[in-house]
Amino acid sequence: MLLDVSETVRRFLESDCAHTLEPAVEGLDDDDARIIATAIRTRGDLDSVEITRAIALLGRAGRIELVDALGESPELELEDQRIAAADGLSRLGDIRALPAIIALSRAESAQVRQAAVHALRGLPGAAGEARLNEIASADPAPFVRRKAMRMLGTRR
Amino acid sequence: MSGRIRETAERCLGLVGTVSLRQHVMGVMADDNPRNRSTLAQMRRIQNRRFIRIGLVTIETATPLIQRDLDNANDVFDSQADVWVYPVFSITEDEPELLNLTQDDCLAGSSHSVSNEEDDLFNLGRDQGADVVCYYINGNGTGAFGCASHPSDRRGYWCGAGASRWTFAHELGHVVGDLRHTSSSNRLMFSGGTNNITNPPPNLTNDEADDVRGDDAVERCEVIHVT
Repeated sequence: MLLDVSETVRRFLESDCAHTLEPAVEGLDDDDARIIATAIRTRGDLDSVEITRAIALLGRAGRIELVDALGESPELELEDQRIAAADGLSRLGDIRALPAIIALSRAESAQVRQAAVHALRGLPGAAGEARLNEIASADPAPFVRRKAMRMLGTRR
Repeated sequence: MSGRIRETAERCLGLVGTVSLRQHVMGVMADDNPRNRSTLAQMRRIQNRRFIRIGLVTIETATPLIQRDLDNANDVFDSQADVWVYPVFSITEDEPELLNLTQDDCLAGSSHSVSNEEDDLFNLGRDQGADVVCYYINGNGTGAFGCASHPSDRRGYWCGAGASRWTFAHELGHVVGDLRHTSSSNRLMFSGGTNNITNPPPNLTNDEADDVRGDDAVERCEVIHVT
């Protein structure tokens, strides 16, 4: 990893232990967020696992830079990255994340769709609720439909 | 199985009824890490050494290397802390919604917030004779391969896809002994990624070994019986 970021951020990006995440969130500054968002967008200087962690870090830190870094239709290599994207975008609590989350809710992987369903729970607006209703009635995976039903319940 | 082994297994481990020499006595739960294993050495271990009972729950479609993890954990805990990691059971659960865990955070102690999904996961494998349960899943959407945060009344941790050969033992160290991270890459609790541990098997310090031995769930055969 070649990124010039804070020590706690670097530690999280390199570590397999999730206990390094919260210190990284605490230590993330504006420069770190900008550098990491660029790395996600360009896929440069980070390996595939580090990209997953970078996405998660910006999401957990509530950094809106994540929306621009991923775009409205996230093109991510790994299922883990797409799950991290759904989870991270949901933590922003910002309507600007909705197009990307809806795109992820149409993923081939049922695990990604499940993560997107969870993400839709927390976002305001009718579009998210309408998509949850679609998934609850028509998703091919029973556990994703069940999750959508539960998430609809929590919105009401 | 000889009467002497059965007697030791019952007296020291509480095993009664149908007992498998391989699983319940030798602690071999999978075929992924073939080793020469001595029954005599295991009898001595059971009779003389401290141990901690651990349960293993695999969420279906996760692909752990269970025996590698157990053997490597014992290369650290048994060898350096005099605490043998004793797997009590290994089960697989069909719970696809828990394969990728929605988790609020990975904080230690009372700061930790337990999500509904984490609550569901840590309900699995309880009341089966192990105080600590390891859950094999894919991950929690952070790119991490392990987390030892758990509901306060159900000790355990999860290991994810991509876990290194030391992740299982590292997370176990967070739970048993409440071990904290270190910046030393020679040690099990290295914070810079267990795949970056140098000079394996990684070390426990004397203080860390004391903390592991002092865990309330560590047991010892009540009757010392060296053969």
